[in-house]
Amino acid sequence: MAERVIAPERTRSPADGRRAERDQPWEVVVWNDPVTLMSYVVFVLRRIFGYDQPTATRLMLQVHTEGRAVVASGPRERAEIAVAQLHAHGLQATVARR
Amino acid sequence: MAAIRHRSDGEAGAELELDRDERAALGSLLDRLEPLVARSPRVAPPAYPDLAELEQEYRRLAGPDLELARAGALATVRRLLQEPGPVSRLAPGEVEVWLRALNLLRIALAGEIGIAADGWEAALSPEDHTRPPYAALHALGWIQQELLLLDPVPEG
Repeated sequence: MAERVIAPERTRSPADGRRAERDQPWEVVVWNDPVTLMSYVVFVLRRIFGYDQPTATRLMLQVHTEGRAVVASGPRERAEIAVAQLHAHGLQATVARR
Repeated sequence: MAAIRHRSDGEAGAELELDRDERAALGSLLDRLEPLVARSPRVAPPAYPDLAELEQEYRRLAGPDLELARAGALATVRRLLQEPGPVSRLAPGEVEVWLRALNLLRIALAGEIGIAADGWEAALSPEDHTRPPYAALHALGWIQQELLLLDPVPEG
């Protein structure tokens, strides 16, 4: 009887892990700040993400009422660039795994 | 009295009318708040609060540019305040720099006086609103709001 052949299990290399991490969607989160003007948050969201006024206003109101809002998502590098732009404008923002 | 309006030459941007005393008062405020901006943790928040390694990399890569941008924004405001006046004109890009600088000053000041949650305005007495740190916060917010009312067009 022929010995049963088991196909070797595919193992993940470190390179695979890095690729998976790169491809995983990340979120750009804006947090409420008690002194930042609501109109300024709307301006920054329009300026950085190109949102129209109603979209930017809806996200700003979510930040204001819920304390945070996910304003964009995508690969980590792009999320990080957006957060750096938000930081340059003085908004409280973080990058988070989805 | 200070006025902020669309440019009278018809170009995009803003026109600020500030007399000598107003320029001096804002310049003095800037002098006092600039060191706060440099050391306030709220001005330089973390990008990855729960991921130490990524946060360290972010600070290393983005930190110096952000610091330069903050200093540059404050320098732009200072430069305009030093113009003889009373009317100064801002290009659209300068309006954005002013908005950024004013926000930096306000969040640094808010951190210093311990404003940590919404509702702080309602919790103050009418007298509190006229005390120096709060009056400064309101004055900077007024300029920022007036600039925003001009609806600066987001650039692509």
